[in-house]
Amino acid sequence: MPASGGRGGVALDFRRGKTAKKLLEVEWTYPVWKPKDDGQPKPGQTTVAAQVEYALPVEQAYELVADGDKRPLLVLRECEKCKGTDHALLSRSLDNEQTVMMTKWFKCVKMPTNVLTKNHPFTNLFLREKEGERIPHLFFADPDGSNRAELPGDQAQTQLWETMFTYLDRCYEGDAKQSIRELRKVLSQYDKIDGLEQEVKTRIDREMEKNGPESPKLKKLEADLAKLGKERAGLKQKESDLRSLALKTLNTEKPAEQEAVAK
Amino acid sequence: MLRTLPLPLLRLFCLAVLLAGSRAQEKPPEPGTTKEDEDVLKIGLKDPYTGSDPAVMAAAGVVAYGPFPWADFKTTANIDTVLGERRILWMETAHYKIGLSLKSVSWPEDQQKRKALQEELKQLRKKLPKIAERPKKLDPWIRLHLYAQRLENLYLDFQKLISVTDADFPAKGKAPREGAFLGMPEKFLVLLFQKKSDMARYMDRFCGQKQDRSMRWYHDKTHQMLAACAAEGLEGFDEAGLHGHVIYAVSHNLCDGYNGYYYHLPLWLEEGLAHWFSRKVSSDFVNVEILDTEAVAEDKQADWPLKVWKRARHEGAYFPFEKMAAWTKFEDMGYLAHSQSWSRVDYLLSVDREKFGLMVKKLKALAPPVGTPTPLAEIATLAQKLLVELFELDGATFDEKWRAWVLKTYAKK
Repeated sequence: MPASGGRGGVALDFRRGKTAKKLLEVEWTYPVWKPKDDGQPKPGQTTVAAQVEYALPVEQAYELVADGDKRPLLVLRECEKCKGTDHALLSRSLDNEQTVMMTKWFKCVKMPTNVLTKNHPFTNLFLREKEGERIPHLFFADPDGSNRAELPGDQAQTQLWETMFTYLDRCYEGDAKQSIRELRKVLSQYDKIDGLEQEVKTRIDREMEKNGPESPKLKKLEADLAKLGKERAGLKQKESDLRSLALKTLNTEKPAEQEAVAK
Repeated sequence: MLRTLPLPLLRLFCLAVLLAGSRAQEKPPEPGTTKEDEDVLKIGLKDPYTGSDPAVMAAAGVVAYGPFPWADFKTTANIDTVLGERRILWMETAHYKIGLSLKSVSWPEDQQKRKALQEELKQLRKKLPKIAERPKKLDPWIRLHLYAQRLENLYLDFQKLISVTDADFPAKGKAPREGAFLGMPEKFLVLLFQKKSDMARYMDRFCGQKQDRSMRWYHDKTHQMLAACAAEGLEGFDEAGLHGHVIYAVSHNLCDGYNGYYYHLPLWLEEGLAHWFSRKVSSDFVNVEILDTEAVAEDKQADWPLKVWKRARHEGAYFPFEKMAAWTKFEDMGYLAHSQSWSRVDYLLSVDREKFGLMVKKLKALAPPVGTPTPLAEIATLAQKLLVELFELDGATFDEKWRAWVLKTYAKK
């Protein structure tokens, strides 16, 4: 950024503030299958024989994964090479903000590395229909498993967004694209408030440490902080309004019933 | 002939050969054999530094490797089934059972941290000479041995503080206060995950909690205290930060588990003590969440002596003890509450460590409550009574003397 008056300049900080950072986290869920009863050991024993895990029928697997959530599903399979990162969803080199913001309208589910093993309760979610078929790293589906769209994990970001928008257009009322554009503006406003708030808080802390709670400067600083708090509350409301796209009532009947209705 | 091909074509050719080869083999690489695999998978389940030699294991303080019984009648094998085989290294020591899936890390850049690590490795190498004097990286097995050593040292420190030894806890039964581990019937548990997802799955499947952040948990069927965390969830924490975090969590568990987990000690005391142990680790990270309502400058947040000293200079800028003694909700404690709790404990320990240990001992000796809620008020009153009896400190005197000590002592730091 050019600065007036000779050499120098102001470093631009493109990093997100704490509020935006928090909002730009994917809210993953990590479903696990649990046996009905873990039981108590028999006398003289210290452990119980755990109920053997078995591959759940796919309908049950979807039911457990969706857990009553009506949002479309975004299911990601971790792999041993991923080391905790979300590269199958998020790009290593491109801006991921839009992707993460879109995930808020999905129920995001992470499956463990061993989900492909034969008896894993959720293995049927990744069942290959044909021998040699590539197992997806990522797929989208309605909560009951219908309308499934698979992605390999190394897909282009544009392909990912295209897929995600098809779900948003089909499952939600309202314009998701417009909401995202507005939400990004809100994030920048949060950054501004975060910065100002931290500045005032630093001054309060310094003043308190230097002159104690009786310092006359504190009153004004506290008032500045309260003002920023009000601005934040307004922004929070705006954010909430933008996020609240209404879910359409999807036809969730089973395929056979759908056929019958069509006839 | 290959040499005559232009480079791009050569690359294409090589790629084609590779692809043809992989198709012909049709077999994915074995887990742990590729560069991108998780470090635990790569290094394998066999400890390269003891080679499972019983004599070396005993010298290193290793009682057993997995699989072994874990908690609430489950085994480590049950956990492996849920989280994936060969992804967690399991080790049992004299007082702990530890599971670890942390990745390899490089040496810290900071000189002070490097020196501290070098000292720890020196201690470790006396027991495990196979570990290089200056390993290039801290692989998962070295990290596991380091954590085992750190945790056993902490156990010893805690025992010293309350003037007890293992001999004071003969195993008499399976109930709290009957066991060999500070009274608990089973060993203390520590889980150090790399990924948040593993942490979340463990918490959900074995504790019934939807939680992917660091957590302490009481496995109530077998009366075991667990401290679990995931490095991925501790954003920005380096190895020293994680080390301090683990010490903080396990100190809490030792304190809670000692003589049975029936009730909590006063928050200021238990938090203060946990921070006191964890702050022995040189780290830029503090185990505190700054409340939204708190005004704390971003710089020097880890310099607690300085921050406490600056506040203690002004009447009204610090918490009077009367207020601290009334804290009952952890969520209400922010940066200032934690740092000042640490300082109160720091002061009491500097006055008389033995008396402080006795105070903890007496507070943990109350009869277990039967069918009533935790008697928080009773414990708070007892703590204040003990402060008077042992240290001659009522609330006002405590404030006055602590403040004078802070102003004199921390100013020099």
